[in-house]
Amino acid sequence: MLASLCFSCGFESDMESLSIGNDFLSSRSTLSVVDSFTVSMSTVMIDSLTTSGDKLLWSGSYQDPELGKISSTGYYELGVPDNPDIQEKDVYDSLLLVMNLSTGWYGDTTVYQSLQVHRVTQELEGDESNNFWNRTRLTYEPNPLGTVRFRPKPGLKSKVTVRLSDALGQKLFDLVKADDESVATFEKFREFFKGLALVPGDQSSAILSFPCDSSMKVALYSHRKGLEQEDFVNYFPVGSTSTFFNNFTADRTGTPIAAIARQIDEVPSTQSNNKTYVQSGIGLVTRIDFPTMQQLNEMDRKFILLKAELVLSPLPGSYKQIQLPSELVLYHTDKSNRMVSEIVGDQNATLAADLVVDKIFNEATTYTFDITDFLSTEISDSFFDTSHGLLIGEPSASLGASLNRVVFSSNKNNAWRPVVRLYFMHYNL
Amino acid sequence: MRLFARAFLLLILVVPGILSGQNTMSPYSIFGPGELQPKGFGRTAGMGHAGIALPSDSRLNNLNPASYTGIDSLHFILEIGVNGKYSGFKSQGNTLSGFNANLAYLAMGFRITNWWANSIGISPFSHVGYDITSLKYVQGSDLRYSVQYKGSGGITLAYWTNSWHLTKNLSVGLNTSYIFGPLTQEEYVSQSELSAAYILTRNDYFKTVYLDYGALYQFKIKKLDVALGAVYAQSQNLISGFSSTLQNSSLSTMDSQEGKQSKRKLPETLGGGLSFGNDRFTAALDYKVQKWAGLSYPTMKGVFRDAHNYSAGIDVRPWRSRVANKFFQNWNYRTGFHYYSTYLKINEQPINGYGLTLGIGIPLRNQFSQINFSVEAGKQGTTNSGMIRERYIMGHLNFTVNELWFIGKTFY
Repeated sequence: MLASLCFSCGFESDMESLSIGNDFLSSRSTLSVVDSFTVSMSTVMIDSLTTSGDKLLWSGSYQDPELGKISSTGYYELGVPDNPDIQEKDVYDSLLLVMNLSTGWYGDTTVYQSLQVHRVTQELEGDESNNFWNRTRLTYEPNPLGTVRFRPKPGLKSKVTVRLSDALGQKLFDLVKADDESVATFEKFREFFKGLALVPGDQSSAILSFPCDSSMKVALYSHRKGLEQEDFVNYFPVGSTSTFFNNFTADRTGTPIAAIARQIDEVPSTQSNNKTYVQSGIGLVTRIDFPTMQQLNEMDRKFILLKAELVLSPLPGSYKQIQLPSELVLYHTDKSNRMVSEIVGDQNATLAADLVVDKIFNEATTYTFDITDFLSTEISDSFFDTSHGLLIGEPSASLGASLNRVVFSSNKNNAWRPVVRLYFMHYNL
Repeated sequence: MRLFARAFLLLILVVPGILSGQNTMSPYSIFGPGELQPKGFGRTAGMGHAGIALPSDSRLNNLNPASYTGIDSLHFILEIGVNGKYSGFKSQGNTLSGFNANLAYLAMGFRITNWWANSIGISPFSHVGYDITSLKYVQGSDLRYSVQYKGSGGITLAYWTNSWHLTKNLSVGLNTSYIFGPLTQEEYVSQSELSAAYILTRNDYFKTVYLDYGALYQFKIKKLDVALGAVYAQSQNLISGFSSTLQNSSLSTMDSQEGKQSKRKLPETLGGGLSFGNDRFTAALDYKVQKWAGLSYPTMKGVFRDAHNYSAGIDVRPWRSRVANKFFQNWNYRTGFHYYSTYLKINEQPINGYGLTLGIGIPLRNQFSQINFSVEAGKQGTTNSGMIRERYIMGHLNFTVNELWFIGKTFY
């Protein structure tokens, strides 16, 4: 009966905050941010990358002001025409390679480029998982099947057409006309014709891209004699959309990172003018280390690491010509610079850095990486293993498929300094 | 004895009610042991809480442990009180108001012999209740975060008082209390951009056996009944321990700690009172000091100072008892005033308060039992120096159940 009297009622409040609380409640928690931990940066190179990601063939070369001469040769396999139509009375005319120019390019496209098409003399064979690696270089016939010189207009849906050797053209024509077994199936054909290499020509100041899909084809032109001459064309398409790759190479002679040859080699930013690099197809990645992070385990007050951010700035002006990759991710690494695993977000989704682009001045652009889980895990056993670092590169799906490039500033004395920002809640129980 | 048993059962039933829930809403209760609760029952609540020199008669008075010798023999008295308080707070243009109600106390008293009387009861010593949100900056950043501090709990007294007649005029009393209760502070930290949501909870448990003493000297000056009262308690240790936890937003415990017992002090308390009157008029004056200066408590900063309390009140029956009286002519009418300085001085600003009380006592049909109702309007604190001013109206409803021990008729 009386227990029902023990009621209390709530208070209605329009008070945002009672000022008295700030001064006299002895708070047992404090939130703070610390950005004084050292971030060490260096450039390392991943030995082998698969390059078949974006279904683009890259061909050409250009001089990168930071990273030397970059070249690419694209390789692909030729398929056989579907229901070829060549009859007894038909006469061979010409053989052409027709390609679409894709929007991606690196270097200077304002001048004429030359490109050579060679016949590959080695089989295009991937590894067990049918991956091709950026270091793979195949042999091809020294004399090109064809050469083309053109003003590229990437992005304008322009086509590039290369006139190929008539000797090859006549040979293919004859085989088709004879219904030869070697052109009946792709499997047979690839034994006879291993593939094509798109090799940069003498005049090359850009690396251009060509979609390796149905738009890329070798056209065999012929005509049929009769009352009226009829023209015919039979297409040799891309043999397989999975067996193609790009061989990216760089000649870094004279650059600050010329010393990098193997994955174990590491050039600290202090030896490369306070810069580090990411260059996808070449395999250059930036390695991050936190040499002083063990201090986290020596703090006086108990804490929870709420959030840890790594903020890196591309060097101003370094990304005017070569676009920054839209997605950069982190990989766990060890003392041999191995790419142990990609750091992923919830449900194993890509945890890409937050990219803020300064489109107006090309200066205040930053990549912000969430390294909360990495640091929390590292310090959870009260020991921060300084051989555990991070590699920065494009997501593994696109890592070897482009030549995207970043020049990070590691100068500790200006606005583009690398920062690790740790948000703590310190507390007393 | 049936009534006694019933009352005892009641005591057990309602104790959990007294101990649970938020009993108050006072920002100043963040300090020390919380907001101290005045002692006293229905009569003194209408008399400005004055009553150190008032003997218990057909009503109990716990302001002086010596008062119970005044209980009429063969009588068994039960006091139950309920408080309801409407408060309005103001600080730097912000306002907050609300209503809060709770069972305040339960006590019973009876004479054992001509010279010896007893009372047992349970009453609040202090209440804690606050809810303060403060916006802070993440140190080293311009990000803001909020911390909500919620205080609850309070310290309760369960007491047993013995009063003895030493001489015809002089009584002394010893009040033995068991003081116990938790003070809880929850700290909710949240920052959405950092996905931070944590709760720090600290429970400070207090317990101790606490003794206080009283003396009451009653005499007549001509036809006037006069009494002088004194109360005293030495500074005593309050044994405290704490448990503290850190929980995340899904309430799983991330860290916890049990605190060792440590000793806090309850202050030395001194008080004196004077009362005088006759069968239709009583006046009472009190002064009391609690020497908080130099004491410290967890979950607060700041320094305590001594707390002083001045009370004065009168209780009158304007009409003589007659069968022909209209109902209100049989009522007691009371008024009083108290002024107090709390043990807090913040930003050089003393936190003081005062209250004006009005009360009535309505006799029930067995003429000894009473319903007492009083209203207190008061103010505490100030808006100076960023402090908080509280204005309140408190209603207090009290039942004084007075039964003859050996007569079977019961109030219920």
